[in-house]
Amino acid sequence: VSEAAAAPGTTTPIRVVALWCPDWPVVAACAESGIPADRPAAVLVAHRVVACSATARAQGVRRGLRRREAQARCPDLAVLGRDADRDARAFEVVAAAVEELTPGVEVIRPGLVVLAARGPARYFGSEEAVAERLVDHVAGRTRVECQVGVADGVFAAALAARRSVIVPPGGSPAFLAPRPVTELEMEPGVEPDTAGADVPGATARAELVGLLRRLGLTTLGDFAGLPAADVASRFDAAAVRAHRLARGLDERPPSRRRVPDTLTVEVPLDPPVDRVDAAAFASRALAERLHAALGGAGLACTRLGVQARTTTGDELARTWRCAEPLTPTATADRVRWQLEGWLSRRGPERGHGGEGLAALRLVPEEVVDAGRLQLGLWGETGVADERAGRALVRVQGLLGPEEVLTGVPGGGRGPAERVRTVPWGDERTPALDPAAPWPGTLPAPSPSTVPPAPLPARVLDARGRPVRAAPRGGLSAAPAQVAIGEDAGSAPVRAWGGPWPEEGRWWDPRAPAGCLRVQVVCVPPVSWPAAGTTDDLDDGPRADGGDDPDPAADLAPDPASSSADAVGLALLLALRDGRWTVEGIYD
Amino acid sequence: VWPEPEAEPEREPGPARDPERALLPVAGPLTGLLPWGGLRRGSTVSVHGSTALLLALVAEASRSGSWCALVGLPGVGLAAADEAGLDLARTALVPRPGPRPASVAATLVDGLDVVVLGGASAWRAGDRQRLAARVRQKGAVLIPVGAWPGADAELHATGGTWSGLLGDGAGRLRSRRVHLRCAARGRARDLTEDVLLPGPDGRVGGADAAGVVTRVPVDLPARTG
Repeated sequence: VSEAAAAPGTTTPIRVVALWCPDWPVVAACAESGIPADRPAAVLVAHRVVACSATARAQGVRRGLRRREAQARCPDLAVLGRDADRDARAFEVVAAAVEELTPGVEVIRPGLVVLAARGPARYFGSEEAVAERLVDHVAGRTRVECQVGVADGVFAAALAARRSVIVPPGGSPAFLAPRPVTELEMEPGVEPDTAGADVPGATARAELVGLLRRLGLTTLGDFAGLPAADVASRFDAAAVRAHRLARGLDERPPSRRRVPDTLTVEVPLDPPVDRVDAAAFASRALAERLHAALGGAGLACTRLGVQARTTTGDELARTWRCAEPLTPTATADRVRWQLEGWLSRRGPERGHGGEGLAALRLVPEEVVDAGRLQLGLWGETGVADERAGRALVRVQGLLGPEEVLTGVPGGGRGPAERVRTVPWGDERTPALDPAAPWPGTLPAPSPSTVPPAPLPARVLDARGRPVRAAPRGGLSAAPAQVAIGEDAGSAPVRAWGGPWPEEGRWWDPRAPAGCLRVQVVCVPPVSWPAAGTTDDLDDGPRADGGDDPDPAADLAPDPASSSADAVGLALLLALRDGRWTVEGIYD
Repeated sequence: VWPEPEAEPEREPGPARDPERALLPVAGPLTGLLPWGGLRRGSTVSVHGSTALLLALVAEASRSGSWCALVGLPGVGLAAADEAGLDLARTALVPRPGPRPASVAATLVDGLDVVVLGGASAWRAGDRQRLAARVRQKGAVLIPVGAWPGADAELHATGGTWSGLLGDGAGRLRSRRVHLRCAARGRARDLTEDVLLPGPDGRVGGADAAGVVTRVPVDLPARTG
């Protein structure tokens, strides 16, 4: 076990509260068909019992019994059919009741919800208090009995909920160890009674449990005692997962609950809207409705889908992503800009003004807890920031969200790699770890112009032959002439530095090949398209000198400078796959 | 084509009229060149001949909290911008301003402090004047790249003497000495100054430091061959 504890990915899982409604398919079926709770009942699939109520169990009904035998043991047994939709529909009330107390609820399956324990425990005072409040609240709201367990990790918490215990922090392995290995079948998601008998994971897990018992491993502790490497080498991936569970580990923290469809708001537009001001009016009312619905659920929206149907039946859709949760005003603005975009785009192109929008729908595609929307007391989002943000979002409305970018400094070697651009409003995460060492990176200064597409170049040595890569990261000869483009005139190299090799990821066939980088200083002739990406920067250090009367005066070496100084335009050249390109221009 | 000008009361105490915030800071070596010792809100300063100059001009304002946009400059080196001192979190890039760049620029001028505008030499005079008027009204700073008749100040960078390459492949580019010339409206004589652009750390530096800093061959990147 000690070896396993040192292995990667074995951090203690987060504290999880699990709320379990016993015999949920039966409870849901009884509630829908009006059967009183004290009458024995069972849900059957293919003439076999998959779930039964506590009263039925007391009379000897067990899971897996044939229908005839179950009815023989308990003559007044109510036999119910299985309906997964009914279970889910009825459970939504319970999930909503839980969500009234605490946000961030994840429904594992109808009958079992989990939530991260830290926030509610701090809010209500202790985990015991959370459990008590949850049981009371769910019973009061929905008249459904439930049990709550708290432990490290979803699996342990689900088992704890079946026993209504609170496992102390770090105690999950000890809690699991004496349990029979058959409890592995109770893992949320693979337990057999969730969707009938046909869950592939359930049969595989049942086979595994049978095999473990034949091997003499009867408790989870026995199984957990096996070294992880041995389990991995003798069993399949599912068994490795089960082994992790038996050790009290957990891969996955509970994620956010799926956005309920009921939060989507829609408004029919009759008569159809074809003017921007009317669309703005409709969007404001719709945004208010959306936020009332979100607020009722304790949520805030970070990704908003704006959808519209035109009078001709076309569906228009666009998703707005935002780094910060949307306020009602921000929502209305985005909807209005989107509608403006659609209406103004359709107007002139289609050439007829009769087409309008017949329906408008707002879909919150990603939501977070509303608490994150609370504004800072001292106004972290300053007035200037808000003003700038609005202007940028407006430009996104004019050009499209991908046309307003922001740079995120990150890791990498080439000048274009080191800053990644993301659309404005997206999360600013670097593509590559900036803290990692990046051997082969050139230190500051970086080229101030990086052509969006590298410009092809030619590099010749003193005898006019192309300079090639030599073994061990060298060059075949010193660069003497440089030309940008295929047929442009060449310029003599005044000074050069390098080469600096970048190895590339030779083990990854899809990764770009490695390259050699060279810095050169040259005096470009007039015919070059160099710096041609920015044609306005045209009076740089060219041989013709721009509008300066005496170019030679500019380009003459400074009397104070030493022989190591070079006058001219500096380029960063890269040799990749035998071809030279201009990666950067130091202009 | 042009966005509707919002009805704005003329006497609103805009940022341009607020003396506290009327000037955006610029890096030390450039303060002496500009007629106001910084970037005056509402003004237009055109930049010629160097992207590094452009970045150096904006960097100090960006660092001190101003919002910047780089419009129509798809080739600007963001690593260099980062080294020059721009806060990339407050810098928006609009590399392709579309068929109506004037309305994009006008929208940005409404909300941001500094708008750098590339590819604007071909604009019609009317568009230019309208944008300049909006810049004055909103208290932003417009920095067109290249020719912009009617600019309040023009900065030209010419020449370029690199140091750091020691011959035969040794060394690396460390700093460049350029000659800056600033022509301003209402000033009889152009001011000139030699600066390090970029300096050894990527920022703009005073030229007097050139002899000391740039020829010390320390921390060369790993090199083989």
